[in-house]
Amino acid sequence: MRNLLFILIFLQILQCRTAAQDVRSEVFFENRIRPVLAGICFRCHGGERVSGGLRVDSGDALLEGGESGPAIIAGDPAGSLLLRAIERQADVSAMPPAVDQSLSAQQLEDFRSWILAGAVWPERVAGFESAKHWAFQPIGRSVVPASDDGWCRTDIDAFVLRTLRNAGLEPREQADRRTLLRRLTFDLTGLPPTPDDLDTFERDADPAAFEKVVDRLLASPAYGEKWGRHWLDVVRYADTAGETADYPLPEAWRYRNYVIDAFNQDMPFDRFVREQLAGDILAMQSPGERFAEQVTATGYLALSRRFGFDSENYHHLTIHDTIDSVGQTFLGLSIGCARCHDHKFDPISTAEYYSLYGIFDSSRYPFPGSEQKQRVRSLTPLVPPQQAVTEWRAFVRRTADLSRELAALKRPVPAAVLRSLLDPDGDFELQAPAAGGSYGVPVSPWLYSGVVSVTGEAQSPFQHVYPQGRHGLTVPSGAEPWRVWQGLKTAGEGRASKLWFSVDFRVRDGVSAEQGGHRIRLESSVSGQGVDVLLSQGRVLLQSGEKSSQAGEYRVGEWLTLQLEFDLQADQVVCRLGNEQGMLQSEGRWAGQGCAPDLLILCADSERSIARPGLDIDNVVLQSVPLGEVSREWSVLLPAGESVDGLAAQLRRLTGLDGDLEQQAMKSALTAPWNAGPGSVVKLRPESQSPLQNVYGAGRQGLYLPERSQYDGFGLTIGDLPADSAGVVHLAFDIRPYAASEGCGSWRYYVGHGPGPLPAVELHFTDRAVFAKTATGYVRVAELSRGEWQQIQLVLDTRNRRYRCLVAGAVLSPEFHGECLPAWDGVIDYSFIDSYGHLPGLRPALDVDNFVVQSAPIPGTDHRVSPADVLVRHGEAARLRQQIAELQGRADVLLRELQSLLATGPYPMAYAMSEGTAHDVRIQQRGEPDQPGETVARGFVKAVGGDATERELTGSGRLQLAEWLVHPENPLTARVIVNRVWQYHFGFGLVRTPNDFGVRGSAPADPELLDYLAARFVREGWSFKSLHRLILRSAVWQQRGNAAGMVSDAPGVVRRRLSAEEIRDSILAVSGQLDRSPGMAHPFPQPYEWGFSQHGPFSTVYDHRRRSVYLMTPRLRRHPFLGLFDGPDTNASTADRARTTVPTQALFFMNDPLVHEAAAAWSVRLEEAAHEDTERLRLAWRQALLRLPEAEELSDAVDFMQDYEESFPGGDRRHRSLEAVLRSLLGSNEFLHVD
Amino acid sequence: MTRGQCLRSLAAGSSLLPGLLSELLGEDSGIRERNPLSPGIPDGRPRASRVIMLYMSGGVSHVDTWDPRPKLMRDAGKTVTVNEFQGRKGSFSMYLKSPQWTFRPRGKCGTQVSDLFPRTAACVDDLCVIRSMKSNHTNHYEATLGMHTGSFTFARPSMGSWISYGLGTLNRNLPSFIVLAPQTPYAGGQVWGSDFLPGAHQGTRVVPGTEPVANIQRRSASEELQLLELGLLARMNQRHRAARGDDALLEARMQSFETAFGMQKEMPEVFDLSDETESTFRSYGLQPGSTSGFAWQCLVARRLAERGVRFVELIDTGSSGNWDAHGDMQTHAPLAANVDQPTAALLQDLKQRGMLEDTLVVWTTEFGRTPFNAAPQAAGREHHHWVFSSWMAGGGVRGGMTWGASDDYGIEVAADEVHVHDLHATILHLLGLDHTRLMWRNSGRDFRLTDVHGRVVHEILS
Repeated sequence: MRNLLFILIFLQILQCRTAAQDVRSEVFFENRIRPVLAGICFRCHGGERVSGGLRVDSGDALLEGGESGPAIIAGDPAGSLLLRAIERQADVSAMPPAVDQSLSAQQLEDFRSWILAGAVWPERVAGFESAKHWAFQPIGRSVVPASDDGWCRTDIDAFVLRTLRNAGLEPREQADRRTLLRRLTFDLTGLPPTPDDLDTFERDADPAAFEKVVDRLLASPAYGEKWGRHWLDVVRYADTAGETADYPLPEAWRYRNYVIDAFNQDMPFDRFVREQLAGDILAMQSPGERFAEQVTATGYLALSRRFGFDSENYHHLTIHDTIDSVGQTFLGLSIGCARCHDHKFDPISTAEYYSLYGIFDSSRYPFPGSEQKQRVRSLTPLVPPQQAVTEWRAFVRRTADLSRELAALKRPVPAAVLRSLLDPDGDFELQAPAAGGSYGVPVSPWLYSGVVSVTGEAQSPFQHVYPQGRHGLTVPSGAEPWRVWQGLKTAGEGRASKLWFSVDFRVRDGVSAEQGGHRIRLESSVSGQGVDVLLSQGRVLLQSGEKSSQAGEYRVGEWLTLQLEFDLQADQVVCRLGNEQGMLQSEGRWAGQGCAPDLLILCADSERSIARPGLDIDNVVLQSVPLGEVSREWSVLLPAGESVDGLAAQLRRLTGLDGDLEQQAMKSALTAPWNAGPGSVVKLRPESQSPLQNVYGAGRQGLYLPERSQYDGFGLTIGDLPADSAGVVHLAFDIRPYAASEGCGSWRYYVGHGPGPLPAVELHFTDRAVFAKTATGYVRVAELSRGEWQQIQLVLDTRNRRYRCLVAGAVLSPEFHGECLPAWDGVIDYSFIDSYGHLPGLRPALDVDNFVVQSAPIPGTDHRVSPADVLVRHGEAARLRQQIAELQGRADVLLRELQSLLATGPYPMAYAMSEGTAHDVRIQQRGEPDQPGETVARGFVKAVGGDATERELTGSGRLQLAEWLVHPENPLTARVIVNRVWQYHFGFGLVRTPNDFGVRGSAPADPELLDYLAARFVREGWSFKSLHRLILRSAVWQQRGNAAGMVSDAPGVVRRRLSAEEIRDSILAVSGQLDRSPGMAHPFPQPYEWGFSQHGPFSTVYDHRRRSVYLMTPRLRRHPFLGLFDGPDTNASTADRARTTVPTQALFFMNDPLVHEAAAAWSVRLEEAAHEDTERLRLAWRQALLRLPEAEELSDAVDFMQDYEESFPGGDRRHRSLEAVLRSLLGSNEFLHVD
Repeated sequence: MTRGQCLRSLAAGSSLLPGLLSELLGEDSGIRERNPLSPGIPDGRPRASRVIMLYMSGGVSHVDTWDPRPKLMRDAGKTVTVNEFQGRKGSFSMYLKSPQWTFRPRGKCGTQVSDLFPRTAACVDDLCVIRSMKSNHTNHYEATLGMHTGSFTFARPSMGSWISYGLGTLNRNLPSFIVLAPQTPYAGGQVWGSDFLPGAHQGTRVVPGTEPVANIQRRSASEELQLLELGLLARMNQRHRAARGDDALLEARMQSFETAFGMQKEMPEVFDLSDETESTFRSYGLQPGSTSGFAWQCLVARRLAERGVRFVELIDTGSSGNWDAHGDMQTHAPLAANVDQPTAALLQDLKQRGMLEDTLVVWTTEFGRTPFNAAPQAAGREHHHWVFSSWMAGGGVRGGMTWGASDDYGIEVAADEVHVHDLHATILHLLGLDHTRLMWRNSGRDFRLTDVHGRVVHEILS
């Protein structure tokens, strides 16, 4: 039965074959099927809405169907739910639901035929309406409309006049010179013109007077500051990275200034595009004067937003941000929409999205730091490689030296040195989990497959290439093939004739004859040819082409370094294998055919599953300068002479513990090495100097502890315990208790291990007695005399855990003996007196002095150290102290040098791109990186002429991407940019959706004018300034402006409010406060101090009086001023600034310090310039509004000042009234709008 | 700029300029045809006309507060296996950790709430406790962003901004969306940002202290002087406009100074609590004169709601010192003490004033905390977005009920999941806004608060 049915269907298909020819065609689909799906079904089954889980925007989606099962079964119309639904059969939900929208009989028939014929969904991606979409058509040759009207000054005017006439409109009259000058100056520079500018212009009778002003303004640096800002809007420039902690980008400013400079130099737009996408590649191809600028330009891509806590885990979103930005910025296309599914409206497939993705995944982004990995790395050097490699090595050497010296001087070394300097691409330090949670697998630019991991054990001992790191790559012993590869950047000149490669390896375990091995392969990605080094069964084989020769042997567990020296002209390769004791040399052929090796592949020796030994790999480099001698030493000369520790120990022996007290500042609290307890009131003072001189001789101060019920105490860490050979140590201190005013609380004297938990001996004392702590309680062991100096002497036998003690004073107390406390573990490193005595309550005031811990017995209290001895000892101590101070001073100098080195780096760097490992990527289904689909070749958007197969991609393909964007046949790039320029001059573009030229964008108001401008722009060498001149000269631009709210689509300038930047700059300019110098870096904290987190993100905003384009623009929070006045969005492309009018803006003009300070500064200038109020007002009007006040305005202002002064509550009234007028001017519509 | 664009730009500022807007809209019927959701007009039957959102920063443990899990108490110390821990995939054996506060039945409905919120628990007959909340991300930043904007990665307009855009405000002297946040939360200002929606819909952050809103304090020596100055400015602007004919933008800007002056007067009044009675202060637990703590935030929220602010959000703490109890669950106690009494007082106060009927109060956090931990003796709990609890009250929500459930140990949603998107859809629905129709076109695409998701939880509506 089933067979019969099958046959019937088969026959049916055969019968329809003739008709199906047609029905299977793309044309049929595009004309009959897709319009219905797009126009009727799509509303509920496409876009964001997927009713019933069904989508209708791809053939696969229909075949897969929704909640009710497949929508269509190819070849089976009767079984296809979709057909039954549109036929409104009884047992299914009728579609579309509204009866009055039912499909026509013809449409039903089309669907039936289409399904019957196999429901062919054309392979070629075509948008629903895009095939004939205007923006994908080549830029046409527009014919300038003929016009004999005298109004027309430029070709633009001829187009505009035709539009006007068609609409039955007439052009408006020319604006006056004042209006023109103000409009022109704001348009080109974002600053108000000065009264002098107006005078010059008005007096100039030359017919070219206007053009002269244009030229002057285009030549002003302010032009780049204004137009650069437009571009920065579009490319969503920001000074922070945008991940959870918003890490600062201290080098981003270089890109900002590059943009400003590019406009000022009138850099051709095609070059501007090429450099922003591939400047690093261009720079490498021909390192020249513009090396730094070209590299800096790729800051555009580097600035892509970062996401998450560990932003490398969200790198796919960063690439998405890049693709989104490239699409909108250059093509006016929302390519980003194709990340999860084919674009709904425009002809961009998910496959094409990932073909672009591959380009950026093959490129290397700088790393700004993140909460998880709190440091910057992979910045791009702004010096050519040859220079960089030597400077980098010198830098690393110097920072390593400094770090080691500092460590020797017992100074903490900035953590950044340990973590962030080992940054060359070849090493594995960056890959390590300790470098931040990459889960121990290699990350970009490395690619890998199989079981490999980054481990601490794989650190090579050799240090001649990189200083001692902490990680390398481990391949565990096993049978499965593995592979790790990377496109290698040559550290050094790219076109050198000789190159040196080096890698360290260690085979971890033994092998037997039948086991496999590993392979190290260097390849030229251009020729595909390479050289192999095989590690197998104890032997190292060099293989080039057919030839194979033995390069040496390895022993299990032994690190070796392998070097390959390539002679690219002779096609020779020299292999050296060995260690610091010797290198074996062998030779082979380099089959690169003149091309340099640029791809390193580390892998199993074959694809077979066969046992292989474990392998460690480290220190990979390819450079154009010879490798140094193989060495395990990083040659650092430690400072000769004494160490701080040694000197400090000498000093301690010499001066004892008390010596440190004597050295401390008088009448102050204790300082290190002594510690006072929290909230301590312990103080040094001369009155507390003990008269006893049996140990230290005469001193000048002792410690005072006032009567205290709160916690108090002081003490210190004892370094090496100076016990004698029998383990006996002698301790003593002098004490004078004052009579307690009430109560009888006790203090505690502690000697033991740690600050409290493990006492060897504890003595507690009140103002009249000493108590010893025993295993069972406290025993009163000696009396104390109030107000008398006494010395407590303790002889501690650490071996036998016993002590004896006595109190020596006016009356010698009987010696008492005790056992060390049972909990004591035999270690003594702490001694202190604190208020944890055994008796609660108020503790008596104390003087304490002359602490001693020594191996020699303490002399009797009647002994006196001779003054001469004291003097000698003081002299010696002073000498030691000075030595220590000198060493520490040296450490300070070293630390400052290290910090400054870390701050500046080996050479200037940019937050810019570099090449990674070229590779194609797999589609991420539904935008999820962990759901890989098919691999797609790198390429561009086919609907815009981006057929990748016709273009040879090199490296990542970024350079070819740039070339495609600016290719004369690309229909979008020129149109998009001239539309932007038009928009910035007129207030709106010819296409009103400047970032969306796709099907859903708006159509150009005058397509021929747009194409005329685009074609001319390209013809004129992509020159912005030429385009400005054309537009500004036009009669249409020079017309009187339109009111912002006029109901009119007639071309012409519309009145606009100043942008946020223009408002701030104008206020600063007219008040004489604007600093016109260009902004440079922001004063961010030094990267080695960073530790921003989502709990404490970076959130500082730096202010200055420079132009607003130089303001720091953060991402997580908007800049408060720019945010208030509709500044750019730093997270997405801003094609057109919003212009909202909200009362918080009015509050700014009423109350913000900026406005009040500006009015104050301005009034001072006016008062200096003129003596009379009316004169000052006239001047103010001229400066702010470029005109004199009308008589009525003047008298209004004068009256106002009078009223204001009368109402002013006192003080400097006259001054204040002028300020109030000036504030009103600054807040006035006339000041803040351009007609 | 066309008239349409001009009107849109004004509409953008409309929450603060309703009079002017309606006048302009009256002249132009096109705008409504093109955008069925032009501000001020809900498209459904609104049950609430304003929202007060109480946001607990850091992640409140559900199993210690609103979601009693007796089996978790019983089996504490035993191990469970989970396939993800702190964002890492894999198989992890974890020790169940007992809640540290006692749960008791409260109110007439008998809903069990722990002793962490004794006073709020006493209001439980007015609350709908949702025990099946679910979020997308285990990290504070993303989860906080998601709870506020519906987007867990990219900055998007905040819920308050969407509502401001959808409904406008009832008081031209106050912003439509106000955030009372003494400290900056995770994800910073993006939490109340309007992103691509017009700037007027951005949340205005109020910081307790002398200048709660930027530039709200008069800098002129006296109000009289400021009025004189504004008068001079108005005359300048009138002359300027007279020479230029009708221009709605110029008009709007002139108007904005009047509004700003009103704001300058009214904003301080909102924060001047001297007209509140002693018993009010007592009920909120607020010391007169103090501006610190959640009590101040709650009382000010009530005053803002009274004055017609559409969306008031209270963020109890910032991105540190919050409910993020990794180290010790006991740190929940002082944080709960900070919010418990004022929250209860706010609910009672609104009810007493008859405002709870049309004021939706939403209490939430970014995620819950793990019912388990890696070590048996661990004193804290980690982030847990698979299930957590929130509650809503007033504004068309059924009180005295619970909705949804977690599993026996509080690890996963067991029934009636309410995803963050569903919560958003429900909030919009209660305000009479259809979450599938409240849209804004940006970069060639229509955006919604709920993206392509969201289901209105009709079951909890009264």
